[in-house]
Amino acid sequence: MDFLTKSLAEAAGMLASLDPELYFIVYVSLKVALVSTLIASAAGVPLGFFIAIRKFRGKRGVITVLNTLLALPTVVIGLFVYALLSRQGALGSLGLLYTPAAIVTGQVILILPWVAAFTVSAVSRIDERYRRTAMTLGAGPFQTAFAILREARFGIIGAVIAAFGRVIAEIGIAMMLGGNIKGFTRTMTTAMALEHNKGEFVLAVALGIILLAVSLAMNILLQLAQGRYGEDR
Amino acid sequence: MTLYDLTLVQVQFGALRALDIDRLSLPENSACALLGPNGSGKTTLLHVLALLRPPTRGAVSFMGEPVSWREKTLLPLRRKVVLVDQHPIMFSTTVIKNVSYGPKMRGESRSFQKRIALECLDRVGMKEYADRPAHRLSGGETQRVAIARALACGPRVLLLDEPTAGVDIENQSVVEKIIFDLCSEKNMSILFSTHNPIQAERLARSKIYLSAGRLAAPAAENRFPARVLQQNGLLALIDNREIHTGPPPEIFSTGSFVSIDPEKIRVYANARGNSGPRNGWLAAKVLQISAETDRIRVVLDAGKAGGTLLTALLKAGDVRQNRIVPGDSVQITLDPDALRIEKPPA
Amino acid sequence: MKPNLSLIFLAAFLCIIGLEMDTAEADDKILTMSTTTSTEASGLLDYLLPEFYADTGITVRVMAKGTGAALRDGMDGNVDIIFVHDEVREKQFVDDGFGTKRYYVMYNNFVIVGPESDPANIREAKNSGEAFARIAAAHTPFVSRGDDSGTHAREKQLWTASGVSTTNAGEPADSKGWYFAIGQGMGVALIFALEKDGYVLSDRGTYLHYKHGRSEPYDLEVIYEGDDMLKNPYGVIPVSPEKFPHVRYDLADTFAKWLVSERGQEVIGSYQLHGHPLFFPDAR
Repeated sequence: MDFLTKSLAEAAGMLASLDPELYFIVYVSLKVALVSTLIASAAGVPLGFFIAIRKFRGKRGVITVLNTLLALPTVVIGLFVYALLSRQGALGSLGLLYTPAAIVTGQVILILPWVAAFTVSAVSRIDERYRRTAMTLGAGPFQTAFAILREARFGIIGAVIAAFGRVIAEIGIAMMLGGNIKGFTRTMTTAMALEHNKGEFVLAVALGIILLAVSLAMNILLQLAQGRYGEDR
Repeated sequence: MTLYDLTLVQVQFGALRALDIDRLSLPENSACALLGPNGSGKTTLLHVLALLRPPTRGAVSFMGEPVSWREKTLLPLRRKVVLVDQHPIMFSTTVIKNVSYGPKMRGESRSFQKRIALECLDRVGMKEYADRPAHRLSGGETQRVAIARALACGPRVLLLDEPTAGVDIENQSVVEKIIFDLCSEKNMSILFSTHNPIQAERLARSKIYLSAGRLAAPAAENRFPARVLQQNGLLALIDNREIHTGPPPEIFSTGSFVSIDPEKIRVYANARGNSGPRNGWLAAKVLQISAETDRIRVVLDAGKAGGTLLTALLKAGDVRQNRIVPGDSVQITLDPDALRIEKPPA
Repeated sequence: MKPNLSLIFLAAFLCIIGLEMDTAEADDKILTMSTTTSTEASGLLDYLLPEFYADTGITVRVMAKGTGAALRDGMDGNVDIIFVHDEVREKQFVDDGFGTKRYYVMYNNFVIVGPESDPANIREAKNSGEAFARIAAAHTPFVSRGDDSGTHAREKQLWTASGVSTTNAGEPADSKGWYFAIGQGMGVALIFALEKDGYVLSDRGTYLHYKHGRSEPYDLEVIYEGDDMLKNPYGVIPVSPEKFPHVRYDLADTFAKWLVSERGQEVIGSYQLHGHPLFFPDAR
């Protein structure tokens, strides 16, 4: 116990001293996770939305596939994208392996199904009457879609925040595709793994504190967003 | 000009034919009630009229223009008609934003949106609710705001699906009053569905009857569940009171419906010596007398406990001769061929 | 909610721009190197790379992994240079045409770490092979890296030298209950050995770090050292530009030549960990 409290105290000191190495790792993590989330959302939200509102053959199959992809382990994605981005792979000539862009690629593959699947369920839960109401009040197709999207906003924001939480906390992809390069692709999770390997705990504990704080902040954000209009829905 | 012309319109839900209308014409500036039992196709018809649901087959023309049901050409037409759902749903924002949604979709200026929204809220007596969250209103308040939201679109046609169905008692009369006022509105036609014949009678100038997806003759207005008593050809209906019909054409057990042709009902004032109960005669009370083109419409309450409405279409001379006035207790009898018995559904 | 959302989008947008700039910078004088965890964890690179940068203006991006994974990176052309310690496989790497030339850079020593009480009595051993044989005979706990690293490769050589019968994988055939292949880094292996009160083969740098570099005590001692079999030479190999035209061979070659230059060798020799010299210049 003494060991833990000591590490915690030192970690707190490190956080307070604005250690540049520590905060650069945090910056890289947040940057990569944000970009991944943004790209995955930009593609996943419209994708999920159209799967939800369109009727087409094989819709059930598509949803089943999406739900299966939710369980994709990060290391499987890491391996797959590694094979793709490695110099020996199909996209090797781009030279993306061991860059933040490689991590982003893997993480987008990881969370795109999350964003899409949760958008499908959020939009499917939206009352059919919203569509009819918007249309009869004179909304065109895009305005109608926007009205439905707006009603589903809490579910969709929730999906995006959950996706962000997933990428900021994952390690398999960041390690395999980013290579844990100091000052370049070292993220909070890969740094923690490395520190643990080195038998160092202070930096790891400090990063752990930040990681927890980030997910706490995300949850508070979600609560705030839902608290305003979301009580009786 | 006619508002709507429907020709051979059918709506099919899988194996179920929800709507099957040979021909229906609605004149402009009408205030029309749509009557019929649950599942008779009222809502489906309203969705077709609101240009929200293309019929499976058939042609619809709206304000003299054939409707093509292609989204591009549909939108300008749809912006002339608004449907208020049976249980309207509010967008999860404030009341005023809900009401200004229609003008906003039409690209009106913000100041116009606000002005028209407040005006319409005022008309339904909900102006003070403008800044409340709309999805926390009661059923009656929601209905009123929904009507304001529809009016803010400035429609040529207002369609209301059972506007008083999900509404508490106090709000019911408020909503009825709003509809009553709207019915006398110029430049706007109103069509509402209801279960309540008294309400239809009070508010509408004309009525449409639906039965199993088909337009029914006005006879369907006098439509009651019936049971054939086999022994003597009597038919039980209206609070289990018996009406003499002569031998029924076919014998059915329970579950039948019987329709009474309003032109084949005879109404007699309770003259002296004529007051005793007679076999085949029914006591009733006159609720309303109104003139139609060549007939007098007499609405009767024929139930023991009240509320069983029977409509008779009488010749003007018969009414005068019998000196029938609203409030009278009367005796009625039916012509032998007044009854049409429906087979129970298989 | 709306202003929050737009703020997030704005921030994300700025991040994308930042990302773009990172990639733009990548065309500059940047060298990518795969090396072993021991090199990075020892702190040598943190000491050495700034000196190299001061001399040449070249930034080195370092990925630390097991020797196997580092070699693999080179064979796939994913890095420009490798800096590892497995002489046999390094020579193979050059012979197969993946690298241009192996430069001897430096060496350090492996040590056998274990409990002070030395339950397998390996202090008496005549050489490191015999020390391993004694551990196997006594069935005292032994922690193997088991991760295809250079250290792991050395373990296997020592098992062969010990005369103990081994499996095809090079591990003791009779391993049940005392031989733990953990598949993790040196630090974890050292901690594992401490928990099991057993023996472990470690590079001296990581051991020193655990022994002297932390506030928590580390109770295992160096029980056996100094044998030629425990010498651990490090080599650096630029990846072949003939095989992979995209590699920064010019930068890689500059780095390799700098390491074996008088200046590089001096920097390596002057590095100390907790007051002990760790690497010995070995340029030939």
